[in-house]
Parts: sequence; C-alpha cells; structure tokens
Amino acid sequence: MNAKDLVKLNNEKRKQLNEHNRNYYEDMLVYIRSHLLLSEQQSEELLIELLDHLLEAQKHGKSAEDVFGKDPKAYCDELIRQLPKEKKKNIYAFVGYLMIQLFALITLATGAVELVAELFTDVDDTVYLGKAFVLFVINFAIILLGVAIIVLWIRKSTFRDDSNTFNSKVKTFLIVWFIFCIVFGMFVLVERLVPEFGYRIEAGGMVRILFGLLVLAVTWLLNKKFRITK
Amino acid sequence: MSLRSQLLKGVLEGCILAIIKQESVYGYELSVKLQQFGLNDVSEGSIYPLLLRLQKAGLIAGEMRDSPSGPKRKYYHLTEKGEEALQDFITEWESIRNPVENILRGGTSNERERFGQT
Repeated sequence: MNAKDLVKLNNEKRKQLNEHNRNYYEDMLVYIRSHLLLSEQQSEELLIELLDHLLEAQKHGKSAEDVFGKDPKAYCDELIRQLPKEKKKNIYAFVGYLMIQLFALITLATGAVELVAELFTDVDDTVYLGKAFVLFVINFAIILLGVAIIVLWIRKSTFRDDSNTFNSKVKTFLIVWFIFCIVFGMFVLVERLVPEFGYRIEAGGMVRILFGLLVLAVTWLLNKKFRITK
Repeated sequence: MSLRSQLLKGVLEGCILAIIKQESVYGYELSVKLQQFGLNDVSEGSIYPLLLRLQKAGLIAGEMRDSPSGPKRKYYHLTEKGEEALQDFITEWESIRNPVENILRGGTSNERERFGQT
C-alpha cells in the first residue's frame, strides 16, 4: 500500500474514534505530517498503526492517554527522532515536478489574461526571457517560503487545549489567508523591481495556452511514469 | 536519558525481537503479548519508538498485509541481522543474569548475616 492509499484509509478509519480520542489522535497526525522531510511512506504506515492500536484500545474502554501517555508532543518527538528521512532523490524529484507545474500554470494564466485582454485592446506580447527566468525562480522561492511558514504555524498550533476549538480554526484560517496576501503582494513587487533584460520573444495568448497545456501534459506523463506524487 | 530507562529499553528491545522471532506480529498484538508475559508496566505506546528504531537498524522489517480479522495490518518479521542481534542479546543476558541475581541476593543475605551477628 502506498502513502496515498494509507491516507485515504486513515481518513475512513478515524471516524470510528470517539471525540476525545479523535482530538488527541488528530493532533498527533497533524504534528507528525507537518514534518515534511520525513519519509511519507513510513510516516503514514506509523500513523495507521497508531490509529489501529487506539481503535483496539478504545474497544477495551481505554483512552488515548492510557495508550500514548499524557504528553503527546514528547511522545511524537520520540517517534519523529526514529522515523527515517525522505530520500533526497524523492525530494528533488518532487520539487522539480512542482517547478515544472508552476511554470505551466503561469504560462496558462498569463495566456488566458492576454486572450481576454486582446478582445478589448492591443496587448504587448513581448516576453523578456532573462526577466521571466529570474521572476520564476524568485516567485518559486517565495511560494516555498510561504508554504514553510504556514506548515510551521499549523505545527505550532497543535497540542494546545484550544487546538480543536472553532476559534482556533478561524484564527488559523485568517493567518493562512494573511500569508497568501503577503505572498501575492510580493509577486507584484518582484515583477516591478526586476528590470527587463534577456532574449525577446513574442508569445500571444493562444500560443501561451497551447504551450502551457503541452507542459502540463508532460508533467502528467512524468508523474505517471515515475510516480512522483505516488 | 537515564541509565535506568536505557537499561529497560535494551531489555524491552530484546524481548520484542524474541517475540517477533516466534511469529510475525503487528503492533497491538505485540503489546498484548508483552502484557501476557507480565510486563504490565510497559506503557502500550512505548513499543512504537522501539519498533521504528529496530526497523531503522534493519533488525526487523514491516509489511502491510491482511490480518485474519480483516483489515490490513503492518506485520513485523525478523531479518537476518535481527536474528544475530537476538543471539547477541541472549548471550549477553545469560552472562549477566546470574551474576546480577547473585549480587542482589547476596546483598540481602549479607545483611541478614550482619544482623544475625549483632
């Protein structure tokens, strides 16, 4: 069973936990999953094992505290110390896959905007490859940073008395939304700051959309062949 | 980590290897067996960090397969390296068991002799 199937199975099985045990377990789940550099397969196998164990214990009238102790964070830290890291090769493949996909999405999005704009006005189709490349690298780094901050925030909000309340969920939502805004603002700022340089090409809306779709098809094939997202 | 908990962990790891050698088990089954042998004070959850460590060291290997009761479980079996580690543990245990017991028992009998003299 690969990690994706295990996640699905976990979602189904978790419904059998009573409220108290589910709150306890889901904090562990979020905390362990927020460690992105751990082997996904091993983490998910462990999470399903812990869930199976808790379900059995629940049948015998035990609580999560009886099984995993009163300090779930310390317990999870111990587990995390023993979990193997994800293979470097897999991390590079995944990051590369994301980069190509982001490239396709940017091409598609700018193509669609141009296509609509062309209906009303003359649009400058010029792309400066040097600037485009620098923008792409910086924007990708900004996205990674944004994701890292969100994940760290979510990790920090586990194992607190209020971590499952409505208020805390609203707070997390607002923070995530706020970080999105900052990331978007930085996109705009970087676009203005980077000067136009490099080889010039003309790429109209239709050309971009076709090219974007082609790249998307390639990522789909690559993923199917090498099972990058499993 | 304190020496005491180090010692307990080492002993517990040896016991886990011995149980897994007899037949492949999954996590919950393992904790039930440990309790059946009388290790009631070992909290159930504490086997999982140990199982992870043993897997990382290549002494045991886990495999998801169907259990008799239906759902897929991760069953652990001993690797070749694990067999060797278990043999080492048994040898070490045998070599310290008697001396330790003698020291502990000797300690109390010495006490008694001393009290007897006075």
